[in-house]
Amino acid sequence: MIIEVFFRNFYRNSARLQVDNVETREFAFQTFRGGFVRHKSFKTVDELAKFLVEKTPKHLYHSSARYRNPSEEVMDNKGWLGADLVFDIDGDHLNTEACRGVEIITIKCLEDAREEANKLIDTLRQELALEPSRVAFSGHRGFHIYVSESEVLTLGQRERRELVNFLKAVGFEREHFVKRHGRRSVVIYEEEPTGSLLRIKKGVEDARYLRIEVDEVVTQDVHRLMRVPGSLNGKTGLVAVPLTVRDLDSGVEQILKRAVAFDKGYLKFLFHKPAKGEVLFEELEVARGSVKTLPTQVAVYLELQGYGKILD
Amino acid sequence: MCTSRRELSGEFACYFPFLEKSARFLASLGLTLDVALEDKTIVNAAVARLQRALARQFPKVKRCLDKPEEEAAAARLALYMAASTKNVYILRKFADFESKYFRFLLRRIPSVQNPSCLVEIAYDLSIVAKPTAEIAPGLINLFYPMAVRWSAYLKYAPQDPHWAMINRPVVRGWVAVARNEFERILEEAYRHRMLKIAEESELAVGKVATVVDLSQFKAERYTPIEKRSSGGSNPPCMTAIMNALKAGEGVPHTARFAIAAYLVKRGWDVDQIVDLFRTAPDFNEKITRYQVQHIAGQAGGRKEYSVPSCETMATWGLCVARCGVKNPLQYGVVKKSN
Repeated sequence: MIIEVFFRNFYRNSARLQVDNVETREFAFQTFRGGFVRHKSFKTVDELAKFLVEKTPKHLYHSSARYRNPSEEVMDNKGWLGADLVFDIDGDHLNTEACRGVEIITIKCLEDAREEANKLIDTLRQELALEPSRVAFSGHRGFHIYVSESEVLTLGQRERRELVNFLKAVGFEREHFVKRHGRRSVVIYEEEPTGSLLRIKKGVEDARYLRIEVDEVVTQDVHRLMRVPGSLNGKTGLVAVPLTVRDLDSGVEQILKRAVAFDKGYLKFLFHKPAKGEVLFEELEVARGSVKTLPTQVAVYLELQGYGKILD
Repeated sequence: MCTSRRELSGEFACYFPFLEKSARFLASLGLTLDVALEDKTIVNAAVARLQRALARQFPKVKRCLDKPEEEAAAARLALYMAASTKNVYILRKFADFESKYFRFLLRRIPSVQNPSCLVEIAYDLSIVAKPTAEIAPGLINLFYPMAVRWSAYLKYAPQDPHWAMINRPVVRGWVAVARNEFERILEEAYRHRMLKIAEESELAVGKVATVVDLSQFKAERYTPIEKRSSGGSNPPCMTAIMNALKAGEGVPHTARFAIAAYLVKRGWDVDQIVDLFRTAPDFNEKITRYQVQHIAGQAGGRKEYSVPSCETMATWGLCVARCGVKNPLQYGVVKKSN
């Protein structure tokens, strides 16, 4: 399979993995033959990089958790030491015009995800005094944000779920902020909009400001497997590019360009189903059964998305 | 009483015996476990304290004025005794009741009323707190005078929609709360502290078991109840609540309401439901019976309450799986029809 060869070459020549505390994390990967392998551990990032060239996974994950014995197969014996607080913002969870029902990745939907990620980061900073330790493009439809401060590491599932509720404003009731002050009634967030009160003030006027659309399942899981920043996403062939918070200030086009791993040459592609829309800056309108010569990254993306087959 | 971390008094240790500084104070007086176990007066006081807690009676405050050090040592010994019984209900009931007593004292002892003293007590319980005036002067401070780190708030605030963090001002890592809410958070931290002491004192607990007759302490154990309804299996959310109750864990009020409303609909009678709650650490038969009757429409407004929807259960943080139904009651029906 040619894509596997592309992936191997990427891991041999270009991969820049971003993993902290590597020796305490569990690694897992999905092979090109469909198997899923868990409970791997590595002492160093170099050791991991060598493994990737030898085994060349389709997807590579690491645990948000840190363990005393990350390679132990029985979860209870791993010795949980704590877990990063992780957030997944995915375009297909956003109820925006650009993202509703989107099948192929679009710049507009990714822009919405980028905005949501910025909203999350602002909230983490202003309301919780938390600073992201790592930010990464997911390699598909969104962004992953990690917080690794000591205050978050030992949070349990219940506390993480409550934190998600806070970010999503679940259970918000305006009346909690309406107080009697002498003879008059005051609305606290109107009088002193600071921290979460600013979000609430804006959110009461426009509901979009109130909720932050993080994936609750990801954040509350204290054993979550997350895609390794710097690895390839086996659904798209794009790199899960490590980013800085500042990278999120500029448009997603720059991020997508950096995420393209296979930007050399063209490949012939046989479509098994019709495709219409923009794919990685390439406008397509193709019928089932057509053969088209496409830039390598587009052909790789389409094959991994199940649109057909690379013929070369 | 709280002005200096170095200045400790027997009275303080007696009021708050499970704080770290109280433990250090007793140790500095040489009131170790071995000494306490050899002192019949302390052993008897400990037995009395544990028995009073199991009977839901506060300790006698006067003892903290008469013999504060002795009573403080007895309180700690009582905790080891509760743990020695190996009966989780006794331990949890003791911790639950002592932590309620802790809050009662927090409100009533004049010398711990100033914010800096409360902050110091919080610090002892590993809660970083400060007066809200230091982070947000003005109106916020007026209505929410105390502030705790958000992580402590999430850990110790009751799991209840009223306590959702979004309904409090959260500013740069601090959650501003009313004074009584702050006390409630400290109460929960105090309860955790007691359970932690019991868990980490295996040796002491073992020693107590060899000296004290533990058969004198009784608490309800869960006994399985024959369900009247023959209906199918329970949904995972309700099973989780029942398991927590059976394990003697404290479950939030929302969960108690949900399980009671659910079991009423599944055909359990009030007595059976009250029996299910019997193992809760803060069980009070009179209150529980009235509340279950109320939910079943046999008291108060005579309205039978409906079972919260799955959406509401999720909002309350009680949904544990995606079952593909809209209401927990539908779970059995769908399974049966399958």
